[in-house]
Amino acid sequence: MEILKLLIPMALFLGSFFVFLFIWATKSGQFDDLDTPSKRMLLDDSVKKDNENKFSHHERKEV
Amino acid sequence: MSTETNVQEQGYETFSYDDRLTKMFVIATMLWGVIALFLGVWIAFELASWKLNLNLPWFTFGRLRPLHTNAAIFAFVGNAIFAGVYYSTQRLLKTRMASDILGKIHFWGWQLIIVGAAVTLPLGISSAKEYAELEWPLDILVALIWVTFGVNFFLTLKQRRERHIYVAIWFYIATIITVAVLYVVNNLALPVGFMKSYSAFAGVQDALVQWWYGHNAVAFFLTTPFLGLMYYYVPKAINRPVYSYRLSIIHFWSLIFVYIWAGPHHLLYSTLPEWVQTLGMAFSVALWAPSWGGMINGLLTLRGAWDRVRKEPILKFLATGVTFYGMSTFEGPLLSIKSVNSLAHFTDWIVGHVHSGTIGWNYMMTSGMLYFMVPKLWNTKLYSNRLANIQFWSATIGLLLYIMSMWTAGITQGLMWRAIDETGKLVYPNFVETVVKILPMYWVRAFGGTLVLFGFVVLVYNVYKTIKNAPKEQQEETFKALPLSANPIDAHGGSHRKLEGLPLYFSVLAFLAILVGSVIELIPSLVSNQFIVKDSRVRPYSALEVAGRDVYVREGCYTCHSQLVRPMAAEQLRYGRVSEAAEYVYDRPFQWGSRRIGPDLHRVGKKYSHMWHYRHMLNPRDVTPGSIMPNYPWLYKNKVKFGVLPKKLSVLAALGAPYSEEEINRAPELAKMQAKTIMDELVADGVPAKMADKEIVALIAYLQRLGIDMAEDKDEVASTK
Amino acid sequence: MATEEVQTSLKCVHCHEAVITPFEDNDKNTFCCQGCLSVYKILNQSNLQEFYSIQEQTGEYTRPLNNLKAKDFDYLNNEDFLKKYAQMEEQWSMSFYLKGVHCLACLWLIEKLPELAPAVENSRLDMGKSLVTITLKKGQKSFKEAAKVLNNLGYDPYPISNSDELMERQRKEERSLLLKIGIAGFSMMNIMLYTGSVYAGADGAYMVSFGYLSLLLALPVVFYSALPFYQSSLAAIKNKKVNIDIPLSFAILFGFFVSIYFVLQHREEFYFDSITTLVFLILLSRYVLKKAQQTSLNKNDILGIFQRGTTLRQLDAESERFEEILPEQLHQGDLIKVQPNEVIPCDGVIKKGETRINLSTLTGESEAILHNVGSQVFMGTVNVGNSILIETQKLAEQTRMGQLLKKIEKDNQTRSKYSYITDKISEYFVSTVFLLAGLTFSYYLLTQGLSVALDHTLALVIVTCPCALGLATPLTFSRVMGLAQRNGLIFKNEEALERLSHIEKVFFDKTGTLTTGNYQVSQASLSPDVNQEDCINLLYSLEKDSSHPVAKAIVKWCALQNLELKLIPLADRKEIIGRGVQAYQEGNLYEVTTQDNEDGKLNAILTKDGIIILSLNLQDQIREDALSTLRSLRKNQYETFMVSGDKASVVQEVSKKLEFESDKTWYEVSPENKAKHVKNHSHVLFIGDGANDSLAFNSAQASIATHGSIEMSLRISDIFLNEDRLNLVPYGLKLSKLAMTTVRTNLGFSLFYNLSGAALAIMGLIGPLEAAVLMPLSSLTVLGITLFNTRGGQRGNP
Repeated sequence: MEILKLLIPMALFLGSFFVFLFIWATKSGQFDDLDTPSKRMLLDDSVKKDNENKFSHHERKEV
Repeated sequence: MSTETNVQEQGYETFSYDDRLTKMFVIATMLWGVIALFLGVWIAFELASWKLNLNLPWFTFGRLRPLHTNAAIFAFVGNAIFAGVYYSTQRLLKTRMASDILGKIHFWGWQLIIVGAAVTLPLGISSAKEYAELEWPLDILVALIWVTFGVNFFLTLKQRRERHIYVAIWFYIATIITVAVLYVVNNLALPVGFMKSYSAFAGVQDALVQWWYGHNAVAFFLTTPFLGLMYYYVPKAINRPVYSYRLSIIHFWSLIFVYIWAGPHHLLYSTLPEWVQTLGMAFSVALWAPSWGGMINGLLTLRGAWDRVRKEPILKFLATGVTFYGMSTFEGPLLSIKSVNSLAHFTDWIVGHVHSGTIGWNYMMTSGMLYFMVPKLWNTKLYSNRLANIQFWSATIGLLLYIMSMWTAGITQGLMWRAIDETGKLVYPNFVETVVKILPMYWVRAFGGTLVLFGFVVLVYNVYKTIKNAPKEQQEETFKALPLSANPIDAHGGSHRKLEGLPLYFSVLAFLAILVGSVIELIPSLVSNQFIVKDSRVRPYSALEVAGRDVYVREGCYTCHSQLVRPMAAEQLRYGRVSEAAEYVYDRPFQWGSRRIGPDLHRVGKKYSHMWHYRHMLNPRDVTPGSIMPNYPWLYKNKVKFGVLPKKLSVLAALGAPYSEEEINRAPELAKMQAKTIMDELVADGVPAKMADKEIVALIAYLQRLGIDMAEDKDEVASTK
Repeated sequence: MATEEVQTSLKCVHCHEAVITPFEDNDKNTFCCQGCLSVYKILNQSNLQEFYSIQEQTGEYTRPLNNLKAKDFDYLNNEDFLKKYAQMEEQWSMSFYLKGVHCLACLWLIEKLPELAPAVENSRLDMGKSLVTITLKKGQKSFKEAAKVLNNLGYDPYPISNSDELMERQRKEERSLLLKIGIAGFSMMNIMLYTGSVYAGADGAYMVSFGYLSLLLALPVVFYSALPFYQSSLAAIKNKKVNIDIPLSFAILFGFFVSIYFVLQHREEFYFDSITTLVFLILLSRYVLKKAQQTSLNKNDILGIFQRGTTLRQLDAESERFEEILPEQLHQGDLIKVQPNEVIPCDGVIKKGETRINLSTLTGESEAILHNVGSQVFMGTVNVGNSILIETQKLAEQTRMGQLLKKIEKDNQTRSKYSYITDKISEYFVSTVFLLAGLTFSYYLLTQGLSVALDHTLALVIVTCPCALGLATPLTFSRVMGLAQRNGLIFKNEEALERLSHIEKVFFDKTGTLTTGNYQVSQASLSPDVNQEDCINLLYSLEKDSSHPVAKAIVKWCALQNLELKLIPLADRKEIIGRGVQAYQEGNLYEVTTQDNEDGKLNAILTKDGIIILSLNLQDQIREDALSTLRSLRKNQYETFMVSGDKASVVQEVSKKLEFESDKTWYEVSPENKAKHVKNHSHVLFIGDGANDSLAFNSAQASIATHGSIEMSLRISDIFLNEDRLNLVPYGLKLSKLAMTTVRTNLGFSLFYNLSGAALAIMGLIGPLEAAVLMPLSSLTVLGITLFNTRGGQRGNP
């Protein structure tokens, strides 16, 4: 089972790479606010939508 | 890109998304989706009635099955992932992809790979490593294109305008990194010719590497990216935040830290050491928790809006997809429990599990995603919801038919194999009895597959009409977002941080130093593999046998036959002595196989006469009535390429097979001599002498050599007529 | 059908609340209040109408903005304020606490701030803490404009100083704990892989190499993740105390070095998996505990009442110009102007102006007292008269109120006897554990050799960490008190909660507790030849600005007479405390005087030049929820009594209405004999008005103050009813019983667990790994029991 000599270091290397990613993420405050991101992803600000809005509100009123 | 002046001076940056690339990937997904599904249906029918193999080499099951698996995984699901990732990443990071050129290179490169596979696999150019059958030039191309995708992705990540990295992006990051490592490690091979190579690992080692890759290809190519897509598309489709964002973060990190290790559950009861198998089992069962964490989070996002799920097809597809993800990740750990595995391994139950994952999870999520994205990409409304519902019902019913038939077939076959009557003899000694018994199930499965294919064709038609009715002039929609402020995040780290950082960095650095040291020290010792457990009786294959093995590899015999006798009473009665690790030392690549549509071949050496094999390969029904094995007439026409044998043997020698100098140089001569000895016996039975240089003879040489090396002289090979 | 439905329940375009008095804008859109109208106008001008489409899509609507007050936020520009509150790097940034942020549309709008305030580069909202961080563009220096925009949108921003160490420390702590948990988790899972293989039968060279790999992976856990345990045990040892982290750190280090010893000997008994599991699970339970405690009780709620507003400071001695500053920026000797109905932010002396100041927060009496130039003024009192100029003398902590609050804060720390018991138990426990460990080690060393000895001792030490003990009681108390506080019941300290659970008899004070304490006009008789309408208008204009309870009752009565109230101009209106109000109108003197007549009712007489033209009888009103509360108390076997200083007739009438037994009501009782009545009963809970029942409060076992000031009553009573709902009393009693049962179950469970765990470990039935799983499991179960019992939810049903 000498292949383990390759597989284990490979798995550990991958694992520790993700530990580093975890450390960077915590240090850079990715987990400080876990309430807003799930809501913020629902919003997308398109310029087109804004221009559209300029008129839509008045149209809605007339109808 | 039209820039609005008033938006500009308010400090906004305007940009637009590279949706052209996403559109190209969407179209590719649909194109290859139809082809992959059609291939699946075709080979299902080929199993149900062997005549459909049409006696053509590039049509037989052995060669089309690898094409179906590669097309379904890399072409259909691959393109779907790229479409979904490009669409969601740009919107989550509020920026355009870093470079449009890399995007194009990635797209056209990937389609080139698929076309390459579609050409090479039917020609039998395959490395016979399941789900990684592509030969070495295509492997290199896959690695390069994957790297371009990774580079483009990480550059975009760097120039993002949203500081928080949403959980979906984390899943994409994990996919890119892990698949890169996995694919490279598993396809390490020494090329022999332009389209031929021998795997760097052999036998049991190769088995473990292959299934470490095999499972993690499923894990990191079919699941992690789709979990990311789930966390983006389900909230977006239902327009409500995910149920618990905290749970999704926990789900990600717990999955990633240990996911890499679930490989061994594919090799239960094989010659893998006992503890590796137990380990694989334990960890696969442990993986059930994070997977169900993901499912619960996905489904609960839909709570309170189930009436909309009933009405809108997109939500129907996504909800079903997430549910099937839960089902297949429950069935997986169950199957990796040793006692269950002893029944299910090598049977159709595994095929049922695979397809409840691929069709249930990937196909459904992709369809939901396409119905969500296409109207938005082409800025129009979906052509018809009714067609979407038709697809949903036909695909779901087809999938249920598929799974049910495979369960029944799998369990029936499993039980028949192991059935022993009270006198200790096999109840069904003749293998073909077990095959004929489940043929009706193959028809049901094929029909189910057709429904799934029909569903997808309906989708393609629906999307095609949507695009046709879309407004012609499509100018890229401009978006606006605020730049990330230049402030460093931890502006006011006090002395506390220094003290805090020290032990952390110390212990991690120590850890890494030791790790790098061990890797450097290990790799050389591994390649030279002088530690491989040796048994003096096991000799490498002769030159002719090597040629025969390459025919075995080319025809994809491993797709129906296994070469592993498991340590169970029924198998020993049916096949002979239990296989041992030492016997596979020179198998490059290992051919244990994962499915027994035909009987196990590891003890077939000298079990039947040359003539039996000669007639069997021409028309299997001559010797075993009712067999569903296709005919191989071209083996009687193609000549063995003796010229290339010395090159092959020298490569095998370089990889550690103890061939003597003389064996390598006089390989063609020796091969012809061995062929002659076989021919003498065949000629006696009426075979014309000119067949000596044909591939059938080489194949017979290889088959007769299987599993005879370690036969003690006293128990002569059990031969039953 | 749809159309009339729209007519009847008209919805405000902005917040979709039902519209009572419609406000119209020029496009005929209806709004529920002026606030909504102004915000709607702002959104329209800066083309942010997508706000309304998001509201429709998600179905979540913002809250009505009826109390929108304009503010100019000048104090945001002043130097030392910025030094303390803003982060001044390349780009300046500051955080504001916002009110009423909960829907997706608010998130969208707040993060659109740069479109409304050009100086802002970006604004990020954290909806969990409803904190917005605003970053200005390079070179911009003022947050004033951004704050004003937020205020106009109705979010009422309040600056939070980044260096406010509580917030900062919390964020830092959480991050480093999260990091430690993550690393411990990674190592635990991967070590489990290698030790799992050894359990599954890997031997020979593999076992040894897996030993080293596990050691390698355990390094970060033992030297980084377990740091908090070592730090707290060192701190405990330094001041010679014993705390639960000591056995824990001992177990970790002992197990670690023992395992190294075994690995070096190529033996298979290495316990890296036990240690890492132990560290991971305990860090996790600590993280959950911290989160649970954080949300329940934050201390600065009570003290924060005074820092919310802003004050006007005179720029220099003569000029009339004032600058708006935060109370913290006041210095000794500053001259500040306090306008009507504003809280006085400091102790000082009045320099100009004469007014009436309501001292209820300090002394408790509700009548406002007249103050004029030179009289002493205290922080926290409310200026109800006209605006005055004060010279500041004492600030924040040194003020009379500051001292009072510091004393209350100290009272809060007094721990219930249960807390003392648990601390004592855990101390004995730790010493017995060490003793036991020593015994087991030596016993097994002699009989079965080193490895068995180490194994059993390690198991014993791990399993018997008294974490469950240490966690349970404080968490229960903080959770229950947090729950109570959220529903309007503020407990002084844990001990009050515990004493409340032993109560059998409940004494009620009448005025202010069972009755609302403010009067209501029950009868009005008009003298013959007087026009009713001008008489009421006159009365209304006389009494309108006085804050006396009688005046308030009269004004309410006038409003109910459904006629257009007109303010009649009056000349030199004077308010004489204790007599009433008088003023001149077209030459004749109008006076309103009040007297007590015999049957306990009060009547107010309006006289014109001495002739009575209108007389009103006023009566004290019984609270609506009084009867239902008393009935529920009696149902739960509490004896209810009523004692009051009021006249017999009134008291009897109220006691009959509230179904008190005649022998359990006393009337015309002075505060002193109220205390005597309480004394000759045991297990008494006294509920009364904070001001004049302090004697009775001291003699009862537990006391609840209904109203008056929080600070004043908390000084003398155990519990304060923050909300004017009597049915909080039975709820409080139920909560106290709940808390006690939870504490007892937790104690019982953790003792049982520790004893049985120790026994199993000593007998060797469980090894270190099982111990490492069992022990944190016990603390998690204790945590579970507590959280389950006190789940009450945000607005528990009293």
